[in-house]
Amino acid sequence: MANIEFRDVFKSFGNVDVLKGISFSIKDGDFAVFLGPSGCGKSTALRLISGLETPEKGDIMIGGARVNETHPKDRDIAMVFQDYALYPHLSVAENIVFGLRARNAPQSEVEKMLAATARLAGITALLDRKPAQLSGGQRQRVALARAVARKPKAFLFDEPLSNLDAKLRMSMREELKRLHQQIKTTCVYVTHDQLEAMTLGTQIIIMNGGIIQQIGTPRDLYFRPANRFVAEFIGTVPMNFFPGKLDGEATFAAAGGGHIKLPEPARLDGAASLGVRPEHINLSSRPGYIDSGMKASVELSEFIGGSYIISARCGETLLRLVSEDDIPVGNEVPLHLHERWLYVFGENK
Amino acid sequence: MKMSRKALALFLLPGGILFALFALYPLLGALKLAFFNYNVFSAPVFCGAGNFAEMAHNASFWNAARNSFIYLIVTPLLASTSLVVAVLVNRKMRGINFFRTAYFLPVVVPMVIAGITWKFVLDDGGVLNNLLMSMHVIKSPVFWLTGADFAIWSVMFVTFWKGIGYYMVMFLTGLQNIPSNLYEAAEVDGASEFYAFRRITLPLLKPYLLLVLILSSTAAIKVFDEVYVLTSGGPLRRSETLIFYMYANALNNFPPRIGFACAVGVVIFFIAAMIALLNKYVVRAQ
Repeated sequence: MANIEFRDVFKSFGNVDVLKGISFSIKDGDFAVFLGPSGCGKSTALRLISGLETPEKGDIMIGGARVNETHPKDRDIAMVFQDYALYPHLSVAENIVFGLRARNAPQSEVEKMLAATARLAGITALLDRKPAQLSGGQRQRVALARAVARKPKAFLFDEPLSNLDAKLRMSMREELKRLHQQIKTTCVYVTHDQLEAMTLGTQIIIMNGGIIQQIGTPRDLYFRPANRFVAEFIGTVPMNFFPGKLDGEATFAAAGGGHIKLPEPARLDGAASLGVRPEHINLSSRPGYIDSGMKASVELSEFIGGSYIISARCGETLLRLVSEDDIPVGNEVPLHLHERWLYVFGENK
Repeated sequence: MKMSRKALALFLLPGGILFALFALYPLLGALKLAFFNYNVFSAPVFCGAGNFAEMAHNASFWNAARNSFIYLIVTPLLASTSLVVAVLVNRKMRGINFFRTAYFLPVVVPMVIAGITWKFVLDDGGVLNNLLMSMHVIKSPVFWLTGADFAIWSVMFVTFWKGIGYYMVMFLTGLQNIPSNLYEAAEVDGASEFYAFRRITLPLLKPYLLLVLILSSTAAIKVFDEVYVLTSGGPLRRSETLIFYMYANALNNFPPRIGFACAVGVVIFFIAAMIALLNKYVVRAQ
């Protein structure tokens, strides 16, 4: 069993509080993703799981046992580092079996695991090469093979795809997902890329400033963000926010002049903002969409392959919209909002 | 910024001139003089391989050569000790800079001053003997510098003491160039500290180890200051090394035997070159 749990964990470096009492639980076999901007504490949380750091307060549990004082080598976890941490003087084969040899595994087991993991990672032809002779993607596979060879209780990934180009990142993402489906081992993955998190994770732990903002499935975070930070962070094209305030519990009065009926009653005092995802804004009347009464002036149009991202200004607010057709700069477009996918956030969130 | 060949040549010229004047010219001059009898007062007289032949039959030369090869024992001792010290001072802990400074301090002390101080310590009536006798470790003074059996080892000890910090810094540079995440990966993979040292640190320190071995072995072959200050090659030439032998023939003789000394110098040069090559092959083979 490799469920992982943090109970009110604090971690500081000098005077800087990096983790401020975080708690979460990762079930055995889950692919949990720590997501957040740089400096939010996600890598620190991963290093605490690995044992490379120790917490100031709180408990770290792996498989039901408290492991705060347990040495990394005794936690039965394997880690893939951001820059792979391959031993430059060892061949690919020696890199893969390093952990097995360090633990005095019998030669027969070493050879068996080497063959199996090299086949799994698709690097059998590269076993005699040194890391310097490999491409970025190949090094990534070797780092993965080295982790898999250990047959650990859990895998830890510290932004392993961040050094790869976009195309390679996509194919490696798919391979990681397939690998997880195959080996069904607990995986904990750190990334600042929300697309990676959404495609890979069965559970996402989104962090900011050392505090967990929300824990949930990708759909939870996308369709039911707990606060404005989560709403803004999740989504390839960020969510749009209309400033304004509540007019009663069921209507939002936008500063740009629109009055929008909310799908659910909301109770907030003072200034608020209405969040709408770009794909939930239509530029013409359509069933399921309500006329906001607001218009936006197109400032920029970016072609992204199958559609356009349109930057348009509505009052003081710069919106990003998705359109199948190009819209000339300067045009005024009406804003029709999806009647269901509207979010209201207080200005404090 | 790409540099033109002309600019490159101009930048290299001053160093090149200095090298040619103070290293290459004297080296070639010495190589030439090795085939001459020259006593400074009269013109050099060509003698062919006469100086080398005399050397081959000279018991003092072989004594000095033997002592120089004994001196090479300090090389592996220095390399291993300075490596261990470098590993120890490479840790992140409070006050570690104090230890780094303490180990490096002997390097900056001029050898003459260090030699005089150690002479004070190691003399027959010196600090060490007094301390050992007061603690009843020894009953009578040990002749650290004047005893035939101890003299060369005492001089070697001073070389060892002075060299630790110097080579420690070289190894420290090498250690700090090894990415820390390699050790983290090894730690997570289950490697003990010793295993990581053996399989990661040592192999990645090979270029530095080679440098340390070459530098310390050629320094051992060329040692002079310690010998001059502590024992002057005595007692009875028991601590006389090749360089001191060369110096004795060049400047301590009357008339001076410059040609013969140059011949000794040429032999020393080839010995040092052989040792450097041997070090290179041994380390690379490992």
